[in-house]
Amino acid sequence: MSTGVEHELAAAFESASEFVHPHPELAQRARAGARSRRRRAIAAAAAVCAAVMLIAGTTYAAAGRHHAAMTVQQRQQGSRRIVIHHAAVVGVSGKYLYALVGPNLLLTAYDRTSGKMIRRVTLPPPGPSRLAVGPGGLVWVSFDDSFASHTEPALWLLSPDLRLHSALTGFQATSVLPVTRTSAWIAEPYLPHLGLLRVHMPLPGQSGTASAVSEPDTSLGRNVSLMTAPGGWSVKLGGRIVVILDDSASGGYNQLVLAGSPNVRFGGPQTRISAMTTAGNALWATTDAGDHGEAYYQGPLVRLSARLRPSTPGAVRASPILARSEDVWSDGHTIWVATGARGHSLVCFTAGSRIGPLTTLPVSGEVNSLAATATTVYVTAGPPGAYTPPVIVSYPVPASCR
Amino acid sequence: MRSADDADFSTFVAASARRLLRSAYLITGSLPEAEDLLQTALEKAYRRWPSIRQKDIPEAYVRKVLVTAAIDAGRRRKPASAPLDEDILPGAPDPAVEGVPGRAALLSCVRELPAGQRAVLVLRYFDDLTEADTARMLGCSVGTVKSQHARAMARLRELVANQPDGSMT
Repeated sequence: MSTGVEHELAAAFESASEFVHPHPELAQRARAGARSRRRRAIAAAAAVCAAVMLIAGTTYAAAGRHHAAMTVQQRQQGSRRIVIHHAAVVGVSGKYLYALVGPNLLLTAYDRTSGKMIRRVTLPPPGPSRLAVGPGGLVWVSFDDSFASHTEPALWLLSPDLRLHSALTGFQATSVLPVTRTSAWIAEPYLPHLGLLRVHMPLPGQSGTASAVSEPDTSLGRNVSLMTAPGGWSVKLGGRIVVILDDSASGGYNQLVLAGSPNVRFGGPQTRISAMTTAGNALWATTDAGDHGEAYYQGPLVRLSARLRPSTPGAVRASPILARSEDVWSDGHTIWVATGARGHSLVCFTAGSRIGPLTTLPVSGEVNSLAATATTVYVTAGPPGAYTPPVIVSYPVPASCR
Repeated sequence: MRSADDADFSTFVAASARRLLRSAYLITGSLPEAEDLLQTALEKAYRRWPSIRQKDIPEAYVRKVLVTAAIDAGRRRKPASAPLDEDILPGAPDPAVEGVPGRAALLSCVRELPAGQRAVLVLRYFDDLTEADTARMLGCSVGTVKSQHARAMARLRELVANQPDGSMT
């Protein structure tokens, strides 16, 4: 091949793509898309101020297919559900259910037993980037800096009834992993040498000084930025912390990395991590194979050991439903998985000493957020790809998933 | 993200989107798919904009995400199922390239190459990247870029020679 041919190739590329022009509102579309994904990640797609809680009867009518390895159970039993319209569930602990409500994303606490609204708190725009319920039922909320009001990033620690709070400003915590009632691990996404910070906060309403100190031996490597994943950006696994990060140097593949051992990783171009959770000494992650179109954010559910080595049970690997996983949560040994499989938006199974049967819940639409206790699971779901506000629905945890 | 960053993002998109879209189109061979991939890459960049901007790498970041996704997309389908738009890149002489011997044949042969090799050629001859920069974009070694490039050119030579009016030398 001569240099002339290479010149011809360059000229041919120029002329073949000369007609191509991007959409004039591409930047606006990208912003809207990014915000939409972010809203989904923080489960904050509420659009109407009013929140209504009601008790109504319902019947499980789960559609399910039976599979050789993991049985999909058909459930027909009476149950009760609680519906909160126009809000998004973000956490549950003890007697409280927390939801973001309305266009201003008011953080709202409900009494889970009576359905009564306990308190509503106005958060700085554009709303929280992460929310976690920690030991003692204390609520940790982190905020990005704001487009609109130029407010500083901050971290709040609120009492369970949301009446009191303490604050630390100036830290853009991508997320929060509570450790004790008053301390948590956070990661500041733009530090040059990324590692974890240990944050100490006064108890809500008490005097004291909040502080954040770098924690030695928690390096996540260089040239990385943290991802806010729907299932949580960091989890505790076998006494260590695992973080989802976006390694910009590798083209934006979301990977898992063991804090303090940045060479211990899982994920890559064909196995991008989208969400993770832990149950016992295992980590469960949803992967995105980089496919496009309808299945863009779907991929197999995997189980990893404490050293991030694959240990996915055959029953899980063989499930066509779990092959289309989108998001994952856990409570104790119960694993909840949002999937793109038709008729199986939300499934659950137990992952104790053995893997239990796969059970489909009667959730329609795309699951946006989930919070679970041992007996109840709270879900928001809406039409796929739509910006309509989801509805929070609670279901009893199926016996097969307890 | 602050409003200054927001404006900065818009400026970046206005300045870089067309070149990036053309690259994606040349690799994927489908304009709708290229548009979709570019928007997804920009969404990703927007979510990390302060960091990307701070490192002064926005175009490189978006191009890397875009090229990787375009290659992935290309690997998932047979070339025949997603040809370059026939109206734009026909096998017969195109008005835009008419009169340049072998160019139309060359382009029709490029679409027969594997997506990875197509990406190497687009990055080298459309985006005008060096071998080292191409390697960084593709997340591989310079040696791999060289070998992919050599294979692509050898395959192109074969394909053009087998064209009825093959005239490439």
